[in-house]
Amino acid sequence: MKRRDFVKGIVLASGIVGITPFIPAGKFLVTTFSFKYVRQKIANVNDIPPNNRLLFTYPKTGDIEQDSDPFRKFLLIRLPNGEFKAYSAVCLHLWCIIDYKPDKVDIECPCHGSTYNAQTGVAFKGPASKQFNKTLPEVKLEIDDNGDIYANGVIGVIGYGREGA
Amino acid sequence: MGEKGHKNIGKLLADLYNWVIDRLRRTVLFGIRLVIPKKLLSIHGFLGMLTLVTFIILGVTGVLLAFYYKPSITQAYTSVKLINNEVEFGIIIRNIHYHAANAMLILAIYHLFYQLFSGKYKVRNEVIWITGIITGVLTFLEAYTGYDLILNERGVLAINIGASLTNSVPIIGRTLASILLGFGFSDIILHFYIFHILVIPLLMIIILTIHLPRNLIFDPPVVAVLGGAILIAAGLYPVPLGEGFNPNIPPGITVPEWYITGLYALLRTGIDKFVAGVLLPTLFIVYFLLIPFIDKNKSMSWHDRPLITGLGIAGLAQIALTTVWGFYINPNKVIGLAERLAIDPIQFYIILAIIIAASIIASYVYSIYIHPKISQNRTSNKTVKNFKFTISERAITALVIAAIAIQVILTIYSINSYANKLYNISMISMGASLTIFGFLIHLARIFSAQEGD
Ligand code: FES
Repeated sequence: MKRRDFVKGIVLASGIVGITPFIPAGKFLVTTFSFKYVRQKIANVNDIPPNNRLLFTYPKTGDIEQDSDPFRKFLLIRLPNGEFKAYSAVCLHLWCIIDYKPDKVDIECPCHGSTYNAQTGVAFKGPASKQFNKTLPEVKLEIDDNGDIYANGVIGVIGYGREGA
Repeated sequence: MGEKGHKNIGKLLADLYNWVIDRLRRTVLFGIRLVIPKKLLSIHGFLGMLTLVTFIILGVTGVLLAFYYKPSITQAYTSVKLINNEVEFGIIIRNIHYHAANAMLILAIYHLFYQLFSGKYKVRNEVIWITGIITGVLTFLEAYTGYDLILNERGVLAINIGASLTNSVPIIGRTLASILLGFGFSDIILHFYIFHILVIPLLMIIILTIHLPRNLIFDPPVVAVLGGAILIAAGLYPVPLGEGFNPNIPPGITVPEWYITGLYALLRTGIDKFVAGVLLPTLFIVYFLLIPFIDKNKSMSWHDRPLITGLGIAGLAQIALTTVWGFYINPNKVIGLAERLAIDPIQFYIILAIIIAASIIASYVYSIYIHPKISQNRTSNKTVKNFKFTISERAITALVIAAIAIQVILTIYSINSYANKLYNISMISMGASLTIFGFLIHLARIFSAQEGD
């Protein structure tokens, strides 16, 4: 090996070793954290009559800017049979805000007409129903003895759906 | 002082000018040659320069808007409303920015297809062609990220389309979305803002350094008329504020801006979001990038390369058709919304395919059967029109005085209407005055050319 090549090789190796610690820095750009879905009281059973809905903010921070984020908007639905369900209000198609329709007992999107089953959160009509991911993220609900309803975590990714579901 | 002092000052200024120019010769600035044509040329030769001019207008007005704009969910709409309704001249700056963006896109598309049909991507211009296509895509993204910033219903619809398309990319989609958009609207609006005012324009400037040719044709009269046209368009079609987005209220139907309706039409055919919204448009762009390598024909004229010409016409027709189709919503209110918006995919894609076939056939038929006959006729009865246009000195004087008088009237009218809050009329008169200025410089050019004879 010529001396020249040896020096070149050393410089190259040193450069590669020197750069290596910076490679994981690419993670800086990837937002791995989402909102902190802590346990929070969202309503009382008496706030909402059967076959009705309530739009709530979760997790609520108290900051108007943060709380107006559509990604924090969820629909608390009291089905005609009295059961409570809560889904992300962001349509899985192109992210419009969806709403519960008491007369049809389903959830509809005003933008392109995707319609979701209020019992399961699965889209059965419109563009969202044709997607790979067609199940709305669901909020885990807990109701205590006083009838207070708590949200405690979200299953799935807002705007993307429940993966594999 | 008197006569002598006058001369001294003149000499001083001339010396200063020469001194500065001499030093500037050492800078990169003099690598570019700005050619100011001596007579009116076809604008086809410098459409790119006109696009660049709109880019500069956008830069200036954009910086001004950035002094007031706030990239936040709660304040974006109200800050634009403030610019529009309260800030002095805000409505005019905002409208110039909006219409200059439209002008830039139209000019860029025009520029692209002119270069395509005239075969300018040959003769060692391949790199210029490719960087041109990339700049075009960036221009589209720049316009797209811009009009969402107001965060009205229309803007949010566009944000939604873009964000869910990014998420729909297989495998890397979620990570990509996380890098580009963050999580939640608070992040999205901030990211869009940074892309719009910094990342994309910076990329455009960098890529433009390997797109702009060394000789740039800058024609002041045409540039003045372009500025006038933007102002007149701003006065005639001022951009509305729209409804502010409110996550607690479901939005009404809105159609996106005209440069996205094509994409919107593809999405509304109901086939897979990724295929319709990402894959097909990407293939379309890749085809354009590859043109210089597909077309090996030495000839520059379009009728010698019917395949490329046919595909070019097809591309143009497809852009036009999808754009118009995207605006169309079935007015029948009885049927559900999903049905009203749905576009029959079979019909849609068959028509797009027919356009390709028909354009190629038409192009071949033209270049094989029709064009040879026409050129034969042309050579047989060739009459050289040698028409020289001269204006008498008196006519020029009269024209110039009349034009300046009209300009003065328009200016007063413009200021007056601004004071009376008639902003549209104010913008139209400003634009008309600028257009007349363009004609005047052109007249001056004719005049000095005659002088030279
Ligand atoms: S956004 Fe809900 S159907 Fe398109």
